[in-house]
This record gives sequence, structure tokens and C-alpha cells, in this order.
Amino acid sequence: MNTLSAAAPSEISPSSATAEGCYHCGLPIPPGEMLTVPAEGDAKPVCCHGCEAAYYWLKDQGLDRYYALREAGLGHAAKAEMPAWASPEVAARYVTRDGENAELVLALSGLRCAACAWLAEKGVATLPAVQHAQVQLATERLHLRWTGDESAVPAIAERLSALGFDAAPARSEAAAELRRKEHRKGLARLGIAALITMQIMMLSLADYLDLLSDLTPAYRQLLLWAQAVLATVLVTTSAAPFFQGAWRALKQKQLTMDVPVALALGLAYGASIALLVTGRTAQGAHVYFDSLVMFTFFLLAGRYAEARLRHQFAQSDPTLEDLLPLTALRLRSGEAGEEARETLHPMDLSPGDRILVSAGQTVPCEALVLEGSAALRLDHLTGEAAPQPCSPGTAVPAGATVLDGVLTLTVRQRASEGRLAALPTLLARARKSQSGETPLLDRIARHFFAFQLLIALGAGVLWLVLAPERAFEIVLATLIIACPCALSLATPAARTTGALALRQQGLRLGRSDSLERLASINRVVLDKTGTLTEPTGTLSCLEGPASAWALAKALERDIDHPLARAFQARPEAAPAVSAQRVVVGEGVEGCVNGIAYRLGRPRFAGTEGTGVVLSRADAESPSGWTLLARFQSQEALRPEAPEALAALRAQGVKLALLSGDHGDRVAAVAAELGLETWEGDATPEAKLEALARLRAAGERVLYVGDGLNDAPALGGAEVSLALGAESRFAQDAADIVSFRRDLRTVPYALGIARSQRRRLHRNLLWAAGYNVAAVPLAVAGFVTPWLAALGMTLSSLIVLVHAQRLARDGAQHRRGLWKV
Amino acid sequence: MESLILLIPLSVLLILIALKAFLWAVNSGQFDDLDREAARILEDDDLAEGKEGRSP
Repeated sequence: MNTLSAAAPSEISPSSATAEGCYHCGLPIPPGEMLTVPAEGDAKPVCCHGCEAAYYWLKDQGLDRYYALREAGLGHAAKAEMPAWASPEVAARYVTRDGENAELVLALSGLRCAACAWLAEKGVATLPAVQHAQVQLATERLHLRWTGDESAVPAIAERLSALGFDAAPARSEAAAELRRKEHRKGLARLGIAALITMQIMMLSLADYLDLLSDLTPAYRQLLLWAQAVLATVLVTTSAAPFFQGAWRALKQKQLTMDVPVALALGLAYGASIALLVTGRTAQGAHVYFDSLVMFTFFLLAGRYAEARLRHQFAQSDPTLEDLLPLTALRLRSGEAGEEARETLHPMDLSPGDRILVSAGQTVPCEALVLEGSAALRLDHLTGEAAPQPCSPGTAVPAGATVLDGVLTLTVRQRASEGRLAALPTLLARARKSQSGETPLLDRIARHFFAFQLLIALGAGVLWLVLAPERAFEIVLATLIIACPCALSLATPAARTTGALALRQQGLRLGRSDSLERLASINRVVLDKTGTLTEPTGTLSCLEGPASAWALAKALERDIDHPLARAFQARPEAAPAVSAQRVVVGEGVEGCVNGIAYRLGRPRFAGTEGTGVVLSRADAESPSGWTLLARFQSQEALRPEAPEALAALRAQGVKLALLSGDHGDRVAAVAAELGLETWEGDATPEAKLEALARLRAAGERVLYVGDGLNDAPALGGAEVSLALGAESRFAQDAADIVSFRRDLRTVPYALGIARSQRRRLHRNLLWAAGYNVAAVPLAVAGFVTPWLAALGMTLSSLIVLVHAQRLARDGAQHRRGLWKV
Repeated sequence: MESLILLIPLSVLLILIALKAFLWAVNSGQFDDLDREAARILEDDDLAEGKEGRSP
């Protein structure tokens, strides 16, 4: 995706219909037509208002890569890259063979809508051997089947890469399969409950409306028996998990919501059947089938909604397999002493092997550092947020991510052994500590259920004394009405609708409680490069020889950063580079023809001034480096930036600009956007410090960055949002990821978060109020069981409908921000 | 009114059949991905080709 978007415009535009035809449709421009659109850093002509509108629409939707893709074509995208895992040797580990056919499941990122799914399917399906390609949008999986074996994988991977999708073998398939089964079960139970509820309500209607009492006892019995059959089906299928859950809880001497629910269901069902069998219903006794089914249906609806949400987040949760890198790079000494590198599957590594791990990659197994030094990110292993340094001799755990530099390591244990096995528990612990909210609710809830059972028991005793014939009915009504269904629905309902509203604008939540934390922020700290401004993808050379371009291109080889891509897009042929090392926030260094070079910030490269400096190692110079050339990256303010910042100001948050770029350029941007608080020349550490200072001053900070050179800062704020995140790294570190490169998604997310909090609070208040008010009424005998079930149903419905209105809030925010 | 003696049990039977059909649909994966499948009907570029067929 990166390579294509960076390479396509500069490489392909000369051949596109620019000077002579319409930029959008390619038709000749009618004489006298002066319409243009701003594309590729230039004003391109379009032939009519229709094409102009189409261009702007694509751009607004973040789809302007269409123009690059169109030129690239499907079959011959020039810069399509084959990812390392796709080499047939490694891919063999992921492909399942079935006679003449091979199957592979790929996890695709970059899928946003049905059109993307279509593109991925059709793009791969045109390859000769492929028989079947089907995308599951909900799980972001591409299921492939083709004739042959793993030798076809490189072509498939290349095609997907050319289309802009980031594909990797799906590995946590076992977990995904479990989720799919759970989803199917939940849906089946809900569907059965819905159908049966409707039927039983219809059959009960005769009883409700029998005002003139012209229903003879025989017909009434018939209707009741029909209800009994349906209710039995429901109790044995849909309601079964409540009984199982209650049984499990009681065996462990615990109280969960299942206990009072199972009790109420059991009582209602048992009593109704008993009344029917003994013939008491023929004398006018009432049954509780209607209450029973309504109760079950709404409980299941709540659980289904909650499970859907849980599954959505579980998909982005890394599992044990996801933490292992897809490939490992093994070093082999050849006969002549030169080093050969080979790519293989991490499971094929054996102790004693030497492996190479560079910035952004994960260490596949327990290992010892041989050469190089780097900072490691271990927070998903230890919960420690600060990067840990390592140097030769340090033991590195499997699953550690290298932040900068390149490490040569010796393998100590096979990837299938060692600490990674303990990871799932560690992960679960880290997740739990993140949301301090749930345990508290759990504690309250446990007391609540005991309280609920006690109240029902108390009501029973009271009424046995007062009027024994009403005691059963009142216990049942109290049990149903005291059930905190609406209360337990409120949070999942609000979170689901909030997450959906965000997804419509291409935002994804990394953690389930990100929105709640976002709602409370009062300051937004923005990064400059890649966030407020956009590199135009071109560079100019301020001083130095023309030959410096080739050197710079060599140093930036394979690095995923906008600046690096600008160098990579240069036409010069780059010499080979060795000992390449990235220093996050500073620059890169490496050796070309045995001479060490540095490219990056002036201070890093041993000089002063501005721009991006290339320097050569020089023992005689006092700083150790001499300046070779100075480059300046051209950047432009994002067109929507002023609008987005105005929207944020209108939302009452304070703004600040925090950038690693040179002070003068930061000041210029700050002045242009009217930002009073700004700081330039900030290293990643300085950014973390600045964020810590703000937090110490009592501010709650949202950090917005592109996640390329500020991954640590993303972790240092209350909430973080990665804009247009293309690196896996940023996607992991950020609380919220915006796949649309549009700053207006920031005020949108904030607006949604606040609406969600407001609606959640109202819902919690209403649900708690309902329970508190209705329980005394039930105990006092004013509520019959069917009325209790109706009340419970209505209160749950009100909670759901109220949460659903968040979608309307979202539409309002959208109209306000995008004027569509 | 006598017809009810036949019709009500019949309606119960119908519901059970409908439930069976619904369970079949769920278990054969028809509700697994609602987002993608909803859009598939709009694609008409494979009209001329057979099922799963495509020109190489």
C-alpha cells in the first residue's frame, strides 16, 4: 500500500491524460473550458462540472488513490512488492493442501467497505489458477482456493499488494472459529426466541381481549396447550444457557445474573405447566408463558448485542500467534566469509541460529543480543510502557518489538517453547488493568443479585401472611422486575453504537473503553508532519552535489516514513547499504562503500541549521561528521486543517502543537493556524515529557499523530489517535485509528465520544431509577408478572432506542463537518 | 370455531418448520457476514459467467 501510493503518482503521471485530456475521465477538454482540480500538486484540467464533482467526491471520501490505481492497472502495477512471508518456503507453513487444490486464509487490512472487498476478490480471481476468492468483511478475511501449491502464493501476494491491501496469513483462526461458533449460537437462540415470542404473544392475545368471556374453556385450553408446546421449545433451546450458567455459578458458590434469571424462568415455566396439567387453567387461572418468552427474548437480545461488540474488539486483540512475526531472517556465513540471509518461518529456527531483527519487527523467540543496540518495546509483555534499552549480552524475550536500530541475535530457545506460552494470561491481565470500570460494576452487581433474591424472598414471606394465594405471583413479578437487564444493556449498547458511528467515517477503536476516555479530554495535542501538514512527496536540495541524492536514497532504503518515501521515489540508482539503523525521531545511519553516513535532523548529523542533512563520518571534524548536502522536504498544510481546528475550538478544547521539526517551521504553521501553544525541536522523549507535564497540570490530553515517528507519544497521552495509520506499529499503539487521512475525523470522534457519554449517563440513570421505583411497586402487589415482563421489556427498549439515537448524533456531526 | 381445533396445532407445526429453516440458515453460515454479502447482489459483472467461473 505504501509503495504504491508513494510511487504511482510520480512514476505514472507522465503517461496519464494530463495536458490533453480531462484528469477524471480522459476525454478531450472542450475549447474554452477552464475548470481545474488541484491534484498531484498541480492544477489539472477537467472537462465538465460532473467530472469536477466526481473528483471532489472521491477526494472527500479519501479515495483519491483511485487515480494512482487506475493508472497502475490491475496486472502491471510497477512497484508491487512481494512481502517476505509469501516466499513459497515460508508460505508452505500457512497453506493447506487438499489434493490438487491449495487453500489459504489471509487477513487483509485496508478493507473499508463492500467496494474494497469487491476489488480484492476480483483482483485475485483474475489470476489464472485461482478458483475461489471470497472476502468476509466483518472478519477482514480473504478465503482463497486455487489449483496447484504454494508456488502460486507470491503472485497472489503481489497482486494484493498492488491493489493496496496489506495481506498476511490469518493465524488466530482457532480463536476466530470459536467466535464464529459463538456468534451462530447466539443468533440461533435469539432468532428462536423472537419467533416463539411473537407466536405466544399472538396466542395470548385471545386471552387478553376476551372481554365478553365468550371463549369457552375448551378453546382456551387449546390455546394454552399450543403456548405450552412453544414455550417448552424455547426453554429447552434459547433459555438453556441461563440454566447452565446458573448451575455453574451455584456449583462455585457464586451469584451471577443467571441465578435470579434462571429462578424466574424456572418458576414461571414450572408453575404454568403445573396449572395447565392439573386443569386449574380451565377454571380461569392465569399462566405466565407470555412473561417467560418476553423476558427470555430481551435478555438474549442484550447478550447478543454485547457478544457482537466483544467479538469486534477480540478481532483487533493480538493472540499468541499474532505476536509471533510471520518470518524470521537467518544469517548464514558462506565459505568465503560473506554473510547470506535467508527468510524462513520462525518455527523453523533452532537454538544457536543467528537472526537479524530490525526496527518495527518483533523478536520471534527467546534470544541473546550479539551485535547492535536498540530500544525494545515490551509493554504487551510486562506492562512497562517505557522503552527498554538493550546491548550485546542482553537476553531478549520473545515478542519484544524493536523500536530502533538493527539487532543480530542468537536463538536460545525454539519459538514454540519459552515465555510466549505464558502470554495469553499476561495479555488478559494488561487488558483488565486498562479498564478499571468493569470490576467495580461486577462487585456492585454481585451484591445486587443477592439483594434481588432477598427482596423476592421477603415479598414471598410477607404475602404468604397477607394473602397466600397471591404470594407466588408477586415473587415472580418481583424477580422479573428487579432484573437489571436495562442496566446491563446500557454500556454495551452505547459502545456498539458509538463504535459503529466511528466506523462510518473510517475510525476504529483499539480498546473498548477508548471512547469513554476520549469524552473527558480538554486538550488536543497535535503533531505537525503528517498530521497538520502533508508532505507533497517532493524534496529540494538546498546545498550539496547532485550525487548526494543517490546516497540519501540508499540510506532510506526499505524505511516506512513519508520522508523516506520521498527519497525512494527519486529516479537515481542507489548503491548498496549496510549496517542501516533507524533512530526514531532523529534519522537514519548506514554504511555505503565502507563509509558511514547519517541522514536526518541537523543535530543528529553533526551540524546546525534546518532541513534534512546528509553527512559523512569524519574523524577530523569536531562533531565527527562533515556536511555533504542539505535537503528540504516540501510540505503543505492539509486543506481541511483550519476547518478541523475551528471545530475543535468550538467543542471547547484547548489546542497545542508539538513537533519534532525545526522551530521556525513549527512556528510558521502555528501562526498560520492561529495556535498559541506550540513546541518545536521535540525529540520523542521531549514529547513524552511535554505530555507528562500537561497531565501533571491536571489536563486530560488527546494526542493526534501519524504514529510514524511518535509511537511512544501515542502511549503517553490519556487517549491517542493515529491519523491515516499505515504502519502496524501505530495501529497497535493508538487507542483510536483513523484510516481516512482527514483531520476532521478528530472533531468527529470527539463529538461522538461526548454524545455517547451523555446518552450512556442518561441510560444508566434511567435504568437504575426504573429498578429502584418499580421494585417497591412489585413487592406491594401492584404489578402482575406479565406487567413486570412488559416493564422490563420497555425499559430495555428505551435504553436501546436511546443509545441508537447516537447514530443520528453522528449524522449531525458529519453534516456539520463535511457539509454533505 | 371448530376449525381452530385443527388450525392451531397446524400453526404450531408451521412455526416449528420455520424454526428448523432458520436454524439451517444460521448453521450454513448465511448470517456470518452481513456487510459483504449484502453488496454482492449489486455486482453484475459475473452475469454472463457460470457459478464460480471466470475467464482466465
